[in-house]
Amino acid sequence: MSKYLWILITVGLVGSVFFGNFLTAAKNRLAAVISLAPFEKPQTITQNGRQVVVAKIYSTFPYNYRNLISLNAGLTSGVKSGTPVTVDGNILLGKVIETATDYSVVQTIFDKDFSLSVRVGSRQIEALLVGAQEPRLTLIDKTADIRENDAIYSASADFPYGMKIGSVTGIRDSAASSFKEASLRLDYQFNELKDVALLSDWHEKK
Amino acid sequence: MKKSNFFVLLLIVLSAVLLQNTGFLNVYGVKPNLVMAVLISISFFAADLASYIFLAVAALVGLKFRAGFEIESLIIIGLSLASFVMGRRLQWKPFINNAVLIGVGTILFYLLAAPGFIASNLPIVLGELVYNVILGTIIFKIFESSHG
Repeated sequence: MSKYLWILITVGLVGSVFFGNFLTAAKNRLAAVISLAPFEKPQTITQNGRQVVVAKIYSTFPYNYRNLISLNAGLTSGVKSGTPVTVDGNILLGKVIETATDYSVVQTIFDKDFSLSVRVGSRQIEALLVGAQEPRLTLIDKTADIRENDAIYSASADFPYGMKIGSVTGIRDSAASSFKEASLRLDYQFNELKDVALLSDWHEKK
Repeated sequence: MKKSNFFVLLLIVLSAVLLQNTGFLNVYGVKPNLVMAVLISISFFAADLASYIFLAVAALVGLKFRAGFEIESLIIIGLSLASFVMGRRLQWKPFINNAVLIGVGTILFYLLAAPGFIASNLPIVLGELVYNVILGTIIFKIFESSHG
């Protein structure tokens, strides 16, 4: 009897692993307890005329090769797939790629599959931001006058135009490469982030 | 080797799951695959295959991050079952078997889940390998000593 009970439980768990996500929100809350994040509901505020949802980071992707985070705000807070995610309402961090009733999953600029068209500095130099644990700027024209500390802004239709991401550091101009590359200096420590701000009305205002 | 209480093992697995979903164990940008290290280490102390499969599946329920099928779940289940079988067949000392299985498991995980990541982020993969082996060895030794 107990043998069949184990089999039944295991089959049920296997089903939930492969096809369901009903335990994910509960797991995220438990992870939040471990992270000492308080149980707070996401707050909707108005910042610079925009509707912003301030949400807690409840858990992070469990493996090294992706950089996704899970937030305590979902469909009930007005969060949709594609919603821009920022550090404080002004610095772009990533975008929502999945939403459920009470949580959402965010792809950050540190994710290997993240890429974004950007403009650099007052000269509006075009570049491509490529996500990685240390994100970098690529496809910078060899003749472009890119300088250290130039600000990097989003230039994609998926995000508010001109949203700051970071600044330029470590410019590389190799003879073997057709383009210049550069690293990013960020104004925040990703590992220390506890809250993020989602621009929940971005798609309506676009 | 003396076997451990199922509920003790379940508690340890679930604790590992919760820790792996936070950034607590992140050292210089390297996060260990704690759940895999724990599952391989306890494979030497699980009473039977059925209860071990239950532990592995329970771990994967906790690790599930996104909706739908996740290839990582299938890989970790496969690696765990393989270590359950291989751990009993390898001829070295059990704690060396454990370390070897965790090291090989780490590499296989990336080869199957994200092979491109190995080439582009080799220091991270090697760092995780060392981290996993250290944590797995500590867990193994704690279990071994608690069983006299």
